[in-house]
Amino acid sequence: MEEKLIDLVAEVLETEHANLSLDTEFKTDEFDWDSLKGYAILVTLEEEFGVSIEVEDFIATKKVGDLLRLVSG
Amino acid sequence: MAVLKTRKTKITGVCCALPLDGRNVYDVGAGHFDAETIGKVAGPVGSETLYFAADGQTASDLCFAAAERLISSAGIAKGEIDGVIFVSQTPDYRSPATACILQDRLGLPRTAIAMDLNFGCSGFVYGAFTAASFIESGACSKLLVLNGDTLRRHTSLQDKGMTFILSDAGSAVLLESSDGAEPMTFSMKTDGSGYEALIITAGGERLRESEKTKELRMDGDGSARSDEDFYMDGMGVFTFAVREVPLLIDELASLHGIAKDDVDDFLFHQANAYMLKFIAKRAGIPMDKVRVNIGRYGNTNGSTIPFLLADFAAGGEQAGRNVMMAGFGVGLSWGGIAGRLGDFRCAEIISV
Repeated sequence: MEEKLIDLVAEVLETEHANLSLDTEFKTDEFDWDSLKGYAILVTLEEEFGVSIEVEDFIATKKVGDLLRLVSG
Repeated sequence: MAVLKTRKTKITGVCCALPLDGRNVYDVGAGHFDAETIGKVAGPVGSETLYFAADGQTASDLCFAAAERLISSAGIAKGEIDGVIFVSQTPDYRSPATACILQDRLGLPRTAIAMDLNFGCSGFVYGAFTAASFIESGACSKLLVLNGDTLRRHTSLQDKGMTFILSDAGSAVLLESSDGAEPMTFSMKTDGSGYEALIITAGGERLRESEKTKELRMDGDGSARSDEDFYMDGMGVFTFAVREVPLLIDELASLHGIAKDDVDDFLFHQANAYMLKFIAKRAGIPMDKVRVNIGRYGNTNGSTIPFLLADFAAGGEQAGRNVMMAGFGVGLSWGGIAGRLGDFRCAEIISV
């Protein structure tokens, strides 16, 4: 699950899997972060993991590991 | 299902009109946002130049100019035009329908039908669907679909989700009955449960304009707007579009009997460049088949597909190409057209 999550996030951020870990803060300039990428991650995770994510919960995330908690329910 | 398959309708010309006042996005945001913020918002959207209608210049003025040029360049007699459909969210008056005024102003015959449709981002597809229905039924033989909006007047300069996207513009597209027409397939959809995702709350009967509706309010994202300004729930609209448009493409391919790979060009409403890229990825379409011109004109609302057609057909390269068009947005409403384009009598963009 962790590997799949990192793959999906890396694809939206247009970076390599190897550049991300659960400890990576992804909403940063390093990944050219903007809200559109946020929408894209949210839609992707909801579909790929079959979950519904509250926008407020997504806004509260900082690290890739926080996303793992969201999709793990 | 609101599906239309046409046998004799042909799109034969387009002219688009921009107001003279084109501004760089950094000038649009100056005084409200710093350059870094502007770059961060406008960059992924892809917008560079945005157009603002002059004081007193309406959407129908822009459409009128586009239609006059289209009629003269195409070399058609005004007496042959038996319908004009004005698609807009910014009509001249609450009443009467602006299309009636345009019928007279354009010198179209009294035997023409004239009607307004209230649509935005999906507006070209709605106008074309209506015109094609009239042609297929035999009621009309030559119609003008006019898409125009002056939404800049309803956009807060302090709303970073909107102000770096929208442009004012008008367009005119000619649809004709023709024995040699290639078949087209239209499919239209609606989900009114999302009506609040794109809305101008005040100014209609539900909430009349007042001192209160003019008050600017700051949201949690550092943007300020009033109830009289166009509001967009960015997240809601993004998820709607990236989910529905790929499904619509698959459905159109199946209804029209064409493999997705055999479509040469995708003409999508120019909502924002990042969204188009994401839609293409999810739909399994190579991005080089998706036409993008939001940088030059901005998101002109209902006339984005006519602007794509005008750019495409300016050199005559559209003839014989299999295309899919899709409009999506306010309503929420969305729809698409599949078909092969033929020769155009006119493909121009003018400044008014």
